[in-house]
Amino acid sequence: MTSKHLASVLRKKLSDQKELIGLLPITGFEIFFYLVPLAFLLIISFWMTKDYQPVPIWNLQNYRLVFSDPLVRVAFFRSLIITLTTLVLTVLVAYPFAYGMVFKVPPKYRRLILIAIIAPFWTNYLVRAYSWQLILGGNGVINHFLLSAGFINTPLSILYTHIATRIGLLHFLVTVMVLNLYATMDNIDRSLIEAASDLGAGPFKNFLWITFPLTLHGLAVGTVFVFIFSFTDFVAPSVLGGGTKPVFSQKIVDAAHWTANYSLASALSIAMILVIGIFSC
Amino acid sequence: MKHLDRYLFYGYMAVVFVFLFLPIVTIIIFSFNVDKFASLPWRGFTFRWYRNLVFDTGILNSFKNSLLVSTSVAVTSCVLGFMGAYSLSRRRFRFENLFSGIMVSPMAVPWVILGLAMLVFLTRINLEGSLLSVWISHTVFGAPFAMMIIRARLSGLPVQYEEAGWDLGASRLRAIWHIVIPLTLPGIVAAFLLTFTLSFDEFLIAWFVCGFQATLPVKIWEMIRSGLNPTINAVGSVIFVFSMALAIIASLLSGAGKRVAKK
Repeated sequence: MTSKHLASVLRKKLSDQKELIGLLPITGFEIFFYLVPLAFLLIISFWMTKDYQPVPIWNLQNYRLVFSDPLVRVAFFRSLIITLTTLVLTVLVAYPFAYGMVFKVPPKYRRLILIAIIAPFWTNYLVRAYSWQLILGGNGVINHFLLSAGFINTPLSILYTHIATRIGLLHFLVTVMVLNLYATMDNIDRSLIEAASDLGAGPFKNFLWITFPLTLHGLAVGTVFVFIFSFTDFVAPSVLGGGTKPVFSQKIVDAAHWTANYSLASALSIAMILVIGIFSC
Repeated sequence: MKHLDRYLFYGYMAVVFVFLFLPIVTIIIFSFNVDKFASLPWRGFTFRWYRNLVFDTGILNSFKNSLLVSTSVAVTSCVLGFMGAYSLSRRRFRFENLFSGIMVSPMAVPWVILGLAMLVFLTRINLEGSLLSVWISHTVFGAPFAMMIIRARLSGLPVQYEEAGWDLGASRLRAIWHIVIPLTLPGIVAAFLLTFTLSFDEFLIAWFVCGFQATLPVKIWEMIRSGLNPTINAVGSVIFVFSMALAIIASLLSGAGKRVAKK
């Protein structure tokens, strides 16, 4: 070993501890601006709100409201139903697409399709939800074609119902699910499928007993994300769903923005987190 | 007949593509429609709504705000993210997985809750109601996101390159500046573009904390709320085209990076 190399190795060893300095800024930032606010949120859910400020009077009234108020309960179940139906829809739409991408499309076009899928994904979610208004509205694209073709006599009211909400959610979530399933399916060991074919399995049996079970893990991960997103989203229900049938996330915003009852809002948020946590397990 | 299944899948995928691109195409087409309300039949072609957009100070202000905030967020996120990614990839420590998990969690927290938490906390420390609040709030999930992207890129970079630099007499920092950063550049640029886009498009948290200094999505929300306004179509179309262009560039950059690393 030359002395120069030894020196640099020594220098590297000495600065090993200093290596972790790089983590300090981001850790400090996240602790102060992320973990502390969340902890604070938890705390004030046990406080009360007076004059638009959270006041440290410890009580369980917010939670009592969360669990007993019928409006909250209705909103909760509405969110739940929308979430579950959206989940099923997303899987049904995304799975065949991902399957086609991995097993049917020639590899050289795969990247192109990937980019084509990702492109709309990174557009502004709010504007996308809004543009569905143009399509689903009383004078929108769909109604115009159905009316002029004579299939219906009066415009369908899809907009400002939660069918529209589901469509808006689906539009975003399909891409997420496809990407997730694509990664999962791409990692499947093809030799397993070949082996099954060699043993006499037809394409359906192959899929049912080999491919599908192997995708279940990735599917579960995607499902959790879809659930969390649909349950907590505020934009789709507000822009497309109309205000008449509020959803849980809207209840939180109501409490925070309009009545400035931050303690209640945070109690609702904690409840939301609990629901998500339960589902994820 | 042999390839029927293949064509079935192609057909299905085409349908899904139509579904995905339908709103984008629709809004772009409608942005040129003379008709005030979003309806057919087509009444005429016009640039009127784009002209409105250019002369509307509210929209322009919010656009300026968004640009300012998103750039700051992207810069801060990439700096914090790079430093974190570098440390993470060069050094093993005991609670690494737990740490990574916590760092990544801001992206998993529902944004309603994050927005509420930021609002309440920032109000408490008197930092609420300005673009600064938006900057802080967006960096909360921007920095871990950037860290993740850069880390993926960094882990493909062998330590030998840096060690060669040390052997030749460079200090730790110089080696990072002259060796690591140039080689990681595609990842850093991708992280920058993606964090920028994420922040630029983000509505909910910005709405909670921005006070009277609206960002563009907040302004769009107000426009949607206040009734049908065809100028939204013009704004939306512009946003769509730019976001998609950025996303495609970022995809190409990180995709090309992967191919190089594999060699």
